[in-house]
Amino acid sequence: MRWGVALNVRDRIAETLRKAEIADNGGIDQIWVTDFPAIRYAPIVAAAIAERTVSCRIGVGLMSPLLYSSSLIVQFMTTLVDTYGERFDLLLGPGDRHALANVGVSHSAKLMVDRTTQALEEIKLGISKAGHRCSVLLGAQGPVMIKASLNADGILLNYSDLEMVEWGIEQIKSDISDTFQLGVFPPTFIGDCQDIESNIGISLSAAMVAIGMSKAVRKRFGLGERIDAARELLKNRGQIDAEIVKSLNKETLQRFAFCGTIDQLVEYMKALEELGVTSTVFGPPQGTRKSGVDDLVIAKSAFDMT
Amino acid sequence: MSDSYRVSIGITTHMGVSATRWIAQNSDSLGARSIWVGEDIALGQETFVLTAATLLQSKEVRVGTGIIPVTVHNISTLARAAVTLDEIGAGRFVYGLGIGGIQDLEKYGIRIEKPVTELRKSVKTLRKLWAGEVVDARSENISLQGFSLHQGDPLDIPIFLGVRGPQMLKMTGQIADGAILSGPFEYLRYAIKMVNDAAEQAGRNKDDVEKVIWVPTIPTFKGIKEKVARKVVALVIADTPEPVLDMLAVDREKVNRVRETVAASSPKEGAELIDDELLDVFSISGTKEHMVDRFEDVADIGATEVVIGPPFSGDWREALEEIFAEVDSRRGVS
Repeated sequence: MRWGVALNVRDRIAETLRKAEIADNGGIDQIWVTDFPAIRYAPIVAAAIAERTVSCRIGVGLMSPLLYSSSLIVQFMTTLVDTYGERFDLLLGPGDRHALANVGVSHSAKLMVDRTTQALEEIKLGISKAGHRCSVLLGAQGPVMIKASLNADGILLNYSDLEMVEWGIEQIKSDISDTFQLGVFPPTFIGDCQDIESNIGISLSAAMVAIGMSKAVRKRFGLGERIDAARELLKNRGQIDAEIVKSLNKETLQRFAFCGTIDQLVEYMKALEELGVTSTVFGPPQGTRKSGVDDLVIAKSAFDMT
Repeated sequence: MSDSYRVSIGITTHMGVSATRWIAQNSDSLGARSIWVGEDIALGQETFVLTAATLLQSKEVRVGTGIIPVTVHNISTLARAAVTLDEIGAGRFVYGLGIGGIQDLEKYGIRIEKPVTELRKSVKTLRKLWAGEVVDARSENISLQGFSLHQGDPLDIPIFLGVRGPQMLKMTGQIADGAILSGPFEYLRYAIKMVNDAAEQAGRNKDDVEKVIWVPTIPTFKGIKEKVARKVVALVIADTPEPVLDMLAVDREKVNRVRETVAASSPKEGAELIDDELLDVFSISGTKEHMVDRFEDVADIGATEVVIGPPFSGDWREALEEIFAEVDSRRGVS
């Protein structure tokens, strides 16, 4: 099982680099550098992390082909590899529709998916032509994107619930090769999670993922009514807030995020492994605190000893 | 002899990683004021990563983009990339922006009706975002609605504009921290005066606007072949706008023959028509002594910084060292 942590959410670069060094020294396998709507441009942060770390792989993304052209994405991935060696992977996905609309990138959900799957092919070809070995993964939730990941080197499913993860894997299990990376990328908080709704960091992250869930998956898991109501609320309020979090309720939020103690995380990772998951990226808010990265290092050490 | 100008190095995204790394790592010991990163759109290294690597691989030199076309990136990306580079550079980063070459933009299906307005709006929008404002902005190329960088402390990132025409030069004098200029000597004299006059008319001090001169510099004394120099100059002549050519005292028929030959066949064929006069008008080439003489000439008309390279060919590393040493020796620096 490959352990990864997502950095570069709101931090200044110096803070991101400090956490990257802790993760690298602590045996975390991969650092993922998030991009838009994060403020700092991920390829630049990835270069800075490569200068400061030794062993870890560095993932760039999620990068949206709606915001960046395929040729630009190929160009920065090849530049990173040429400059710092074969340490880089790429995560593609349509991106946050609401945030993209604020910067003038506004398309239908179908077009966003079509553009992303087309870009996946162009980018894989471009990187291959450059003679590099970056893995290109697809961030996915719904059946269309999950199927599209068969053209990628792997997938990162954006939820935590074991039943949902199993369902996601079932969609492609019979068609994937041994080298295909089956991964999950859930919002994560290691700590006291008696009441997820009152923990602003994890509940907002979980709500964001839940609200972006495709219609087919909402329906499949009986979440349609509740998430539809939250989406309507979002239209009126403009951004995800405590009211929207409350409307989703504890049970729904927990399906989209991991929130628990180190011991619970170790058990959760074992369960993921049994499902065939080969890689887990711990999403925000876990990497937003230095102590969060410390906790991940401790958890990985505990997991390795089991 | 002029002490009033600084000497810098220009690199482009089309150069290899080993060459750009060498320049970054040796810029401080050479005594370079800046490294300017030119973007050959969609060619070679990605411009933001190359600029970041150059900052990370150097310690004191200023690193600037020279230039990034505002038309090929989303304005939010331009703003975010600059914030990131500014943090990495800790005060060493400067943002060179421009509208982009018309032919390059057409190749990418980009057409801007009012380039001066667009560039002005881009600069204004970037500064608002860096100041921490929530921005609504619209133009031919910009569409922001309630967008913010969630910037706590306001950032003051210097903006240099790579410009050519009179309206662009005027705007640069009015709003920019520096101008990046390229062209024959007579054009440079005109451009610097335009920028200075516009700065003063806007109530600024002309010295508040740096004037960076980046023309082809071709040190033929260290293995770089003269035919390389002549080919580069043929390309430059082909790309020089008519109004700029009109300012020059060179034989216009000779210039036109070069332009026609480059257009009809190739720069290599055009190179055959480049004589010593054209070489001297459109580039700074020759021995190190002659090159530094020319640096001093442009400093005398108001340039604050002269950029060396590209092309980098022959023993270019030694050539760079000798040119910087020549500048130092004239200033009595051992």
